[in-house]
Amino acid sequence: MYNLAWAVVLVPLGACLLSYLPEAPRRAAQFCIAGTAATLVLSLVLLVDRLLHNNAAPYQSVITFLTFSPNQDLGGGVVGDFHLQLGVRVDGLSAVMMPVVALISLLVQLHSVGSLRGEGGMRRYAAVLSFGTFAMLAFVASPNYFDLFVMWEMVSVCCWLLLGHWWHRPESLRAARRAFLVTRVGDLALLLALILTYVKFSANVALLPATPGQDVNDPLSFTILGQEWHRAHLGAVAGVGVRTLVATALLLLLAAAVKSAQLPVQGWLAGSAEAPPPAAALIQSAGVAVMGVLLVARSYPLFLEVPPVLATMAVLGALTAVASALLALAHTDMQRILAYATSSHLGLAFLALGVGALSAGVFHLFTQAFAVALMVLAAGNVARAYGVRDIHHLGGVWERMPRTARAMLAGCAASAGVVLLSGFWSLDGVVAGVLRNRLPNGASAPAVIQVLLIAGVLAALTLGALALFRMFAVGFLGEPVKRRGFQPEKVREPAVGMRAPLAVLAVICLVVGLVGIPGVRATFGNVVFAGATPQHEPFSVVALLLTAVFATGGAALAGMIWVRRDEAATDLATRVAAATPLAAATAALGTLGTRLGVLLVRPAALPPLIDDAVLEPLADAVGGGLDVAAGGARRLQAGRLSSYTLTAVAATALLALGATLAATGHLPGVGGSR
Amino acid sequence: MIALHPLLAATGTGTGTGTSTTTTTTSGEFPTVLLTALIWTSLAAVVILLALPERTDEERSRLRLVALAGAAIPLLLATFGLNYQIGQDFIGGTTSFEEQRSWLTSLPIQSSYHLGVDGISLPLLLLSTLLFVIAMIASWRVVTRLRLYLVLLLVMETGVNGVLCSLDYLLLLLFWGMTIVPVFLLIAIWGGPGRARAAWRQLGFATVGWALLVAAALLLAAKVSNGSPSFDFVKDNTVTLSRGIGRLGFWLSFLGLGLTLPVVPLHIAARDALTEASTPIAVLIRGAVMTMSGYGLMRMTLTGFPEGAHYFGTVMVVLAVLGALWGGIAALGQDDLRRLLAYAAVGQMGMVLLAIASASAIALNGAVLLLVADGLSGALLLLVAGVVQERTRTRSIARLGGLAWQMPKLAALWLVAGLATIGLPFLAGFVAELMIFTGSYPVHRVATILVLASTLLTTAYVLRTLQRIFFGPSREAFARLKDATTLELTYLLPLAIAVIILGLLPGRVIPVINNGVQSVVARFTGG
Repeated sequence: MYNLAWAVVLVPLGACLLSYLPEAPRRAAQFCIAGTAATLVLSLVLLVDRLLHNNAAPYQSVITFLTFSPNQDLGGGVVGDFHLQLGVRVDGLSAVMMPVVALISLLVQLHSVGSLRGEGGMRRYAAVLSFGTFAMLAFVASPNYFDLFVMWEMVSVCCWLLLGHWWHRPESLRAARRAFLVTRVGDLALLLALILTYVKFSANVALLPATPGQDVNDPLSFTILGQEWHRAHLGAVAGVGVRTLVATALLLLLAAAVKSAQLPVQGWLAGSAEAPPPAAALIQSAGVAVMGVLLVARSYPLFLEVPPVLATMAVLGALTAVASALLALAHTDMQRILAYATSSHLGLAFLALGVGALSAGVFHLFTQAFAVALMVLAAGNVARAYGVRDIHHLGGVWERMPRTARAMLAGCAASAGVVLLSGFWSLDGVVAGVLRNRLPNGASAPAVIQVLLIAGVLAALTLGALALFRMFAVGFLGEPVKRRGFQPEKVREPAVGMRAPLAVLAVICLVVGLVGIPGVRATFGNVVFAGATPQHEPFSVVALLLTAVFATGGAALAGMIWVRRDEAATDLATRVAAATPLAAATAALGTLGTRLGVLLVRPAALPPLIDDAVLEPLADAVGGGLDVAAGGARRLQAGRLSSYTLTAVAATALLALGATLAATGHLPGVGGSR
Repeated sequence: MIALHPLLAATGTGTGTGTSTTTTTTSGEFPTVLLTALIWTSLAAVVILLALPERTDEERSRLRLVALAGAAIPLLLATFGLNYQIGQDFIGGTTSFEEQRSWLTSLPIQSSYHLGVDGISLPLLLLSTLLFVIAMIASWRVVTRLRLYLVLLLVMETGVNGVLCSLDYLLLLLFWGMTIVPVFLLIAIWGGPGRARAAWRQLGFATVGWALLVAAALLLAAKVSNGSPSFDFVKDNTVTLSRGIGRLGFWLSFLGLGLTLPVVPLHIAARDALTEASTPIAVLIRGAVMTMSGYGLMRMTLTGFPEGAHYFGTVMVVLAVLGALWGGIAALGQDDLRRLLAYAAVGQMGMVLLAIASASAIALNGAVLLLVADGLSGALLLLVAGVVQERTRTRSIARLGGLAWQMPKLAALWLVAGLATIGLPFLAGFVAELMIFTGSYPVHRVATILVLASTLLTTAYVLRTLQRIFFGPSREAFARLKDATTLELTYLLPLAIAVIILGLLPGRVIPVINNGVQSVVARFTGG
């Protein structure tokens, strides 16, 4: 049954590879869509089956990518065989996330057929989307860190290809390069964490009794590491102390934070504004951005052993949540607002994970994935119809494109956490988690930090709602803004292919919160956390009330300020948001990043300079000596080769002879000591 | 006991082999002249070429075909050899296809014609023979002094293959010497604008390096403790040197090889050679000469002078980090495309040096794989750059842009090669880099992290070149340029396919490589 997981992962890959067969690019895109649809059905079957057998051990199936016996001591004793394995793992987390990825990917692909109609590169785009779907599914279903890293890289590259899809536009290229370089830092951190884990655990894992169903013990496997981390914490693994665990956890946190656009590198995610909107939707909702949070969720047993790192994560998440929400308020580009809002919500997910509320964090990811996808796709439709993305130049969407606008409203409300919609229930979980502030092993963050976290989460709630509803009120309501060459009467709803995905997502946004209502929530928690102890997600009236007041309050406040489209009020709010120390600091950090890049390029002139000024003359002392001996290089052009050949051979022979004599002629120091 | 082919088992075992307990996989019916055939076929083609005239186009194409055959047959033999080895799945430090004949017994230090390949040399041999075929095809349009050109290429191939197959130090050095003059002439006659200077520098560096190697080999040979002095101990190296001699030998061999690897302060000649040589020759300098040097570091420096290599490991590591950063930073700032690729090669070799300095089994496996992977992807980058340069008549990146409009195939090939250089999973370089870092991390922690960070520079310059050259708005000046021709695809596509296959199936070759690496590591740790 669980061998289906292989099919879930590999069907999109097959579709990607075969998409080069059909003659028409459109046909190729449809082919890819069929592949993703098949994957969605299979993953749903898998999910249902997993829910029916929730207490079963995780299912794993691996193939060996590389194995040999290095016969080497890596510091903790001689390691066993060097193994790298690829495979699939079906447990609660992957079973829940796979249908999400497949569904959003399917809707994005459907939307793309419409929104990229008439453009070149459709086949390439469809193939990359399919490949990205494969990589994300394989990432979600990865059974060990090697597989996880490989797929992580694959997604990075797909993200780069998607961001740079319009490769003739310089701004797309800039965003793509920035995203790739920034996320590459995270990639390297993850690689280092992998290497560290391998080096520290391989010798010890080789001694363990073989896991049933596997012929070898893979020191990178999640199942094995889950136990090993705990044993290492107790000091039962030779050569591995708490320092190793902290270092590994910090590296993983760095990788996750970079990938999930946390402080101070949110900028790369904002660059997704330059990608085709469906691609941006995939990158922000189910694709690249959530991978960081999933990485932490996957490595949660490790993080539980090192509470200080979890506290760091919580603080980082809270800071990002507030800073990104402020930045969302300060921007007027729809896609950038959405990107920063996404970053803010990912920060909240990190915050939840940091205070021990694993399932709340994952559930927030789950609800946001749909809402963000919905909003980004709707914004893409609007931008396509209006030709601009700046909310000050839109207006009147509510009348001209009623369905898109209503879908957007649903998305904003669900994401911001308006009462009873999906985001409300997941945000409530985050707030409850912060209020409770207890790790499964009983540890908790200090009270000072907790107060800060509570302030952060409430501020982020309000500011996030404010930002989204400002975008909606200013951009979508009122009358269309007059611009030269723009005819508001020509604005129409897009074709059904671009509307249907919105409708589906809107319905999901409205109902998916049911999974998280008190009572059902614990079930969800127990599914995604496949640990020994059941998850307690207590019902907290305080959290519920706080969420309702702050999130819905933010939305209402935005309505009060902006619904009349008062320019002065808008500007003032934007300026105030941009001027807050946190937003200013974040923006400054972003610029600093760019500056650093420039700084790095500038000394790039130095090594060649040294080469030319210092090393070349030295080299010529060698090469030039021969040159002079041969009478200058000019004669070469004259074609007097024979003399050159002769000189070269003679020089070689002479040197060889000299060396031979020096060594066999029993030089005092060399021969004498024989 | 060494199983020799009956016809070749002429005079028994040479002095240096001693009472070896190694077993070869060569079975009785197996032709042990494989390596002799592989090496000397190229030279046989030279003899034929010299007898053929070079006046008309028809005669020239005949020359090309003969030369191509002279390069293709070794490739077939090497493929056969590797395939056989993969099938064998043998364990233990064995050498295969071994052949040995007494030779130069009258010298004060004996030497024998002793050939054989192990897990380290076999993949490199496959790489070098493949690159010579590629270079042959890439040179199809060469007309000036065609016969001389082909002759030099084939002589160089004989030398490179000979180096990789020799188990006798004197033999190895003779073959090594064979490559020096052809490389010099190939740069000097067919190179770019600054060819004369580059060629002389290359000649000077190569000759000095070679002389240093000769000295190092003599040092070793004179010290063979069991029996009379002999060069014949690449395989059964049991020489123990006094500490001073060992360290002197380390420096001689390390400097000698560092001049051509190149190791950073000594990289000027290699940089200029890679910049100024014509594209096929640059491919060979990068894929064959530099590979040969990396091979030499494992074969000679690590195996011959383990104590010195251990003692001066830190020096090597510092130079490795310096090289990786130096090459990466310099490449990032280059406008000249060819010089950029030259610096990129310097940076990649820093990674190889890191592995060699750590002398750990996993890292050395990775180093051999990286030499192969980087030879392939670097060759692809150089060749695509050559085509671009030929079409646009410029090497300046600033003057290029938007070429993917006209050359989508070349852009795709550059993408594959670039991503392989970055170390993207499922392309050639990835597993190699992963293994190098995993193996060297426990030995040299800080250095490993620094070199790992230097791959960020690699990413930056690969993205920069890709986006500056191929992406962006279309340019009027390049509107009429053509995409890759069939001839160009003939040599570009095999390389791209090789990069992908090596990336997908490293598990097939690593056990073979590991087999050779184990003997090096045993020598290093066992003393």
